[in-house]
Amino acid sequence: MWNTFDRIRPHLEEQYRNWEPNPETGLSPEELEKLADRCFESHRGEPLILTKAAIFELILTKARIGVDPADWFADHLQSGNVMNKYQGLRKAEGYRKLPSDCEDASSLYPETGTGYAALDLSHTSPDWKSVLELGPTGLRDRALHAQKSAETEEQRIFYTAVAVIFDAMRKFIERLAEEAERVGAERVSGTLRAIAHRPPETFQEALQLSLLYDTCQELEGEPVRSQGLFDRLFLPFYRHDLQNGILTRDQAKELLKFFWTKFYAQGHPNGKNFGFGGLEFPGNDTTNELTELGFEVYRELNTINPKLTFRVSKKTPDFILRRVAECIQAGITGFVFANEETAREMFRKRGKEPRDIYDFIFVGCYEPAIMGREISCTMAGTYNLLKPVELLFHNGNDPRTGAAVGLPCPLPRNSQELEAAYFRQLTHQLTRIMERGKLYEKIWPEVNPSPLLSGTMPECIRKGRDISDSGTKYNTSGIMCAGIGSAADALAAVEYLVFERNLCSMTELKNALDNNWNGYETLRLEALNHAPKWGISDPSADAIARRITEHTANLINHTPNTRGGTFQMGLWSIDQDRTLGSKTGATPDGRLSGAPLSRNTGSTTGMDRRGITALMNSVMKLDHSEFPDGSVLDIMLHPSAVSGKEGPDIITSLIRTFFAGGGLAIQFNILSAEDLKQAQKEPEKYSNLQVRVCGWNNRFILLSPEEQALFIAKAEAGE
Amino acid sequence: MSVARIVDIKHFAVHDGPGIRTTVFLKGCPLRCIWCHNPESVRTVPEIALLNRCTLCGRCAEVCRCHRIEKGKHLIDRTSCTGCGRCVSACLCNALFLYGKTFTPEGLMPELLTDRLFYGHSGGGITLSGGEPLLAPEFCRDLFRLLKTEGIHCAVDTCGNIPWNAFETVLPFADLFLYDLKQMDSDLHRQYTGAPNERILENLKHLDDTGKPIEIRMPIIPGLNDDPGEIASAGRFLGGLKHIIAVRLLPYHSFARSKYQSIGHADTMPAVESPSKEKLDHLAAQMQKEMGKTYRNCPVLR
Ligand code: SF4
Ligand code: SF4
Ligand code: SF4
Repeated sequence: MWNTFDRIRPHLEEQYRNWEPNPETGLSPEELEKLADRCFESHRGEPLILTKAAIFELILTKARIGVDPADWFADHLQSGNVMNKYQGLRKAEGYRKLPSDCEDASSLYPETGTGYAALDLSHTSPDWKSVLELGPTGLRDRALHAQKSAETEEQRIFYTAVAVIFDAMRKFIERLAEEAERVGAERVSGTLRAIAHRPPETFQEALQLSLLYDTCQELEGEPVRSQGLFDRLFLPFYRHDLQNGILTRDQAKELLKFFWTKFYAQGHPNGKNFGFGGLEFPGNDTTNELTELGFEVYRELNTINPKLTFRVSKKTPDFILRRVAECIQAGITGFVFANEETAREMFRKRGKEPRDIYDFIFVGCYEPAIMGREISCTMAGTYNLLKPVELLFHNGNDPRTGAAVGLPCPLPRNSQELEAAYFRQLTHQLTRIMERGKLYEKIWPEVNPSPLLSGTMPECIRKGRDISDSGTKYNTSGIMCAGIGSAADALAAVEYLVFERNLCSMTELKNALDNNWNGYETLRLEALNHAPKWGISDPSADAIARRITEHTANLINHTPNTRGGTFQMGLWSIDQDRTLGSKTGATPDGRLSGAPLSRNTGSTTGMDRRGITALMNSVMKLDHSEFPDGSVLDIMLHPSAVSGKEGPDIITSLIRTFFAGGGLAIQFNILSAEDLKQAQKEPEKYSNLQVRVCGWNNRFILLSPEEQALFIAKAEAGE
Repeated sequence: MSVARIVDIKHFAVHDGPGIRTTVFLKGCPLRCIWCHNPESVRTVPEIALLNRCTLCGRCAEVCRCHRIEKGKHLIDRTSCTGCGRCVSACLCNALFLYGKTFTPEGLMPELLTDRLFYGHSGGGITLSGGEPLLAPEFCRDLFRLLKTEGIHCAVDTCGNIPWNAFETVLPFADLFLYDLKQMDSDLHRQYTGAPNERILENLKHLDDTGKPIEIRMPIIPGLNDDPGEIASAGRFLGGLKHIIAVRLLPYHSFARSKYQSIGHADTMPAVESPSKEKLDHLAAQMQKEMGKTYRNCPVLR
């Protein structure tokens, strides 16, 4: 039975794409859709949450399913597009009813690359603890029990929906068990039978349940963006199995490989996020034998999905951090490191109870939230921090579209006026984004109640309230702020070119920007190569970045949302550095129209000319405990800079330094030969790429083409 | 007040001693190794480097007559250059670099302190290299003294071809010596580096007697010093010392060729292949063996 993973891995990786469901196991998607339409009609007038539960039940009990005898886990379900369709309908209906206040924040803002306000259903995590401790029947019964003391009709309805939906999940698992028995899938049948009627006891049962819960929540329509803290949640099951001789360590590793390959095969573009490490009450380190096992498996899998978040505190043992650094060194870079100390401080400032903070996770990419107690809507809004610069040159209008997305204003005449104008535009726009966001929040219960996800949350059960109706203990709304580097560079450049060096007037600079710098090449070179930049530890540029983030954090973090929480500032961009940048015209930092913004907390591409220590020194000057929606720094390293026995120590030192300096999250890139070739073609984007030359590191782009070719050859040889 | 000409300052230096370091390269070297990988640090005088991103815009020529743009070529009259640096500021393309700015120890400190958080968390510090830093022993001493008051680890990377009293000047403050060993045969040493090696070996023995930890650095130049006999005699010599903490074999690369061009020096090194990984492993094993029992656990890095 064991040691089959490597042999069947290619098959497992294609398990969803190649799957031909057996028609005898249920209805086709078309039949399902017809039935669902009828169900939807017959439930008209009834509370949406019950309709949703009914359709959900219909799919789980009627759709085609599949079990693969070669697999250690079962989860195949041909759900079609039914849930999606109804969610879409409800959204469209809800949006139609929205008042027109601040409408531009969801129409003109996206068009002009300013950002957006939206209803964010996609950044959630259930209470994995409840899921694994109770199982579907326990979760159902918890709701039914609470229903006995329900006071309002609304609460009773909520509990009914939760009970229906978890019972549907139980039926789904039973169907899978029957199918497993029918096809002789001995690896999974017992496990499925067990978890259909009781909480999991073994490692395999716990993994199987967590997988099926994930499937169900994705079906419900809220992408699962954190799988919880792996080495805590699964530790009791792992120990149980080892103690009772149910599994060996190697077998547990094999199970985990099958399990994680599910997520790779599902191919979620942003990756499924598993948390590790960190502190637990009353403040001790949690890393344990399962932490090690997890990292070992991850390394052997050499995969990009799932992705792992490692909570690192001062108490995290060096050897385990080094283990992860060895992965990074080997180019397995799917880790984000989270700073426990900064996170605690940040949560504390946002009023979270010290006990709760121990359970924090990163939702999505690097957005901190408390597992089981928080719905953080981390992309309720996005914002382009460079946009106000463009607006202050154009009387509040977006130059590309002519749209009046800012406030009318004269050209600033000195540095004070410059920053005041910047903040005026920024405050105006962010306020509108948040106002618009509040309207979306208000219609949420009518658009997407989530009985399954809510049913895992103890506070939702206690209150009898859905997450869409602020059922959880903490209800926050994140605004992703992108392009801090570009914004600081742009303001620093105006300051340098106009007010400090008198190289041009504001009007001349405006003309240069309007002409995308054509005819102003010299001025552009001054802006690019002589003006201060973010990311080189330049005091003036760093101070500007600090003022921008302080102002913005103050504004966002103290604006209440409509769900009993506040908005929260995030300092990251993910890939929106490109989308937002593509709609932003030329800017005073020498950036050409349409070029990307700086990514996350990093510098504008190619502007981190003084190496990674200078970059980190700049980033450490910001107060990261003021970015409750997360912040992250990307570090790009050449393999030769971290080669050899000392390599992992260098990586761990970088992490420890960044965290001692107050950073919240950091991730690494080790560049491949392909990347180096790209660097050869576009040197201006890779000015900071370091390579090791004899006894020191040099910047790759300063080497002659022949020497670069040598490095590429080395990288190709895997040295 | 002591001063020195600084070639360059490299942050995030990770192979010039323990941890994450900042390496300061001083200008001037008593040797002339034919394979020299730091040609910009050999001469004592300031030198202007012209990088290949020059757009021939001519702004530098407007501020100094040493620069001329002629027939699509950028010519520099290096003999008249005083190292004032005005052309560097005039260039908008970062195409000029001045090797050899003059610094006092106090003047260097702010830049060296910016990375102190990194030194602290990695066990790193400052390394003085070159060229030959101990051509300016007072400067090294004064700088180290300042660094020591900040609790920062100090290392010297030396070629050893200097009067012993230069070592004595920095000994009280230096925590670690990185010591180059290039060639055991003195005649060959003279042929390849322009100087015999007796003083270098003598100084190394003296230094060993002081008890300071020493990391030996041996450039491996194919065809010049990579034969088994050479490694054997180096290994035996090192085996007779007491305070070697590591030996690092530095494989020759042709990476410095563009630097020769940029500062207008002739590159006399014949074209040779970099030593292969197998070759280095082999030499390292041999080195380990020849160094004998006492150094069984001394790492030979490559
Ligand atoms: S000792 Fe070093 S700097 Fe001096 S010539 Fe030799 S290789 Fe160049
Ligand atoms: S450093 Fe001064 S003297 Fe030398 S070339 Fe430049 S401007 Fe002329
Ligand atoms: S100023 Fe710079 S780019 Fe212009 S000619 Fe001189 S070195 Fe070349």
